[in-house]
Amino acid sequence: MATIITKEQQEKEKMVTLVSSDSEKFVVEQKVAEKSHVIKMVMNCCGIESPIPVRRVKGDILKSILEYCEKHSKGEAQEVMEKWDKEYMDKAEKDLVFFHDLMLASHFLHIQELVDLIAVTFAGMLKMKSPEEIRQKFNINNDLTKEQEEHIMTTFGWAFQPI
Amino acid sequence: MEDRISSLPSNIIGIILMDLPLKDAVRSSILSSKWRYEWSTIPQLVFDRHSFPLPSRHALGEIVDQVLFLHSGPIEKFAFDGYTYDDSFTRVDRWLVYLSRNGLKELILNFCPTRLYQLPTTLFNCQALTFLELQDCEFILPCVSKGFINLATLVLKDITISDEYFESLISNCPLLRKLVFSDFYGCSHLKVNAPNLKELFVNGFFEDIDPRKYTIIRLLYLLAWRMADSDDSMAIVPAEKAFAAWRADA
Repeated sequence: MATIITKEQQEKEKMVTLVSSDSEKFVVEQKVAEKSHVIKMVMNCCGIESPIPVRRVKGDILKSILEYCEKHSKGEAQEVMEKWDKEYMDKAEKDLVFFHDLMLASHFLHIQELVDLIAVTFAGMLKMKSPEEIRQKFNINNDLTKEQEEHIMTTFGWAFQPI
Repeated sequence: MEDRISSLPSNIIGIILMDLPLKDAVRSSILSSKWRYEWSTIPQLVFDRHSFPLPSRHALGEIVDQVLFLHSGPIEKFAFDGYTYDDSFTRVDRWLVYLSRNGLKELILNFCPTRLYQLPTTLFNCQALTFLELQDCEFILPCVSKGFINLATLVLKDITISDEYFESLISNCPLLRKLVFSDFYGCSHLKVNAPNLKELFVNGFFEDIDPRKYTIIRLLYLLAWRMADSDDSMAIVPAEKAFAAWRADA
């Protein structure tokens, strides 16, 4: 029994250092970092002794992502996780620039669960909105000509009918 | 604020559009030139009641034709809810031919109880299928002794199928893990030869379900069934218990 506990403790002590693009250092458990498929591969081939540079991800984003990975490595009940995910997304989507960077980073780091979560939240922002509302929210510059717009409206008339 | 969302790579925009009803995804084509064709590569096409409620459904057949014609790349999932579909079924046959060439993995087809869809044998060309759900369809063509080599889940509701066809279909789906067979016609002696079956839901009137087959299926753990003389509530009981009861009755 005592041996097993020691082994578990040893597992817990396996820490890895990740370094963001702006040189911020994060020391996390290996199982947390493993949530990223990319970091997992790096750890598998290079070990965890030296710090791992995460060059394309800035400190504030990496911090938020690691917060997600840590929570998701605990194996808590589904309802608890769903509630936590919702709160995490509510906070993240308030700042669209941050939210966009979070999507890019989780995709780059290959954290599929997080990519899916962000995609669903993004989709929620687009759902049941008029094109003009979407353009305003995301500051999308409409570079289509009037003729092109008319062509799209005629071709996909069914998609522009109100539900 | 700059336009961040449009600067996302196409594959990420594709993931976002996949979480939208098809109608909203197609509508995104008018946002800007960057968005114009983004919808056309999404691998899941769902024509359901949510996206296409009455009365916009009258041209549903044409809409599906148009979407399939303009789509490019693989289509992994295709769902068509044809509960008010009154157009030609040869159109649906054509969709299946097209989909079978595009690596279809998940197919859901629902029709109307008053107008059943006669499944064409080209359905069996969709050999990449892992999930198949059919409602208000009929297998009335001569039994072709074909199945789906990759199929894991088969859901058949309000289906007309003969004993012979049912047995042949199931025994030709070697990887089948879950079978839902509900409110069926033309079939009364259920022979389920599926060595990997883990879940079985049967709901309907039948005379005989061969229990000898099941004694070898140890992993089977759920059975829901309604016998001719029971009430309408669906019973879900552990398979072993159900079969013990069945054997005691028999």
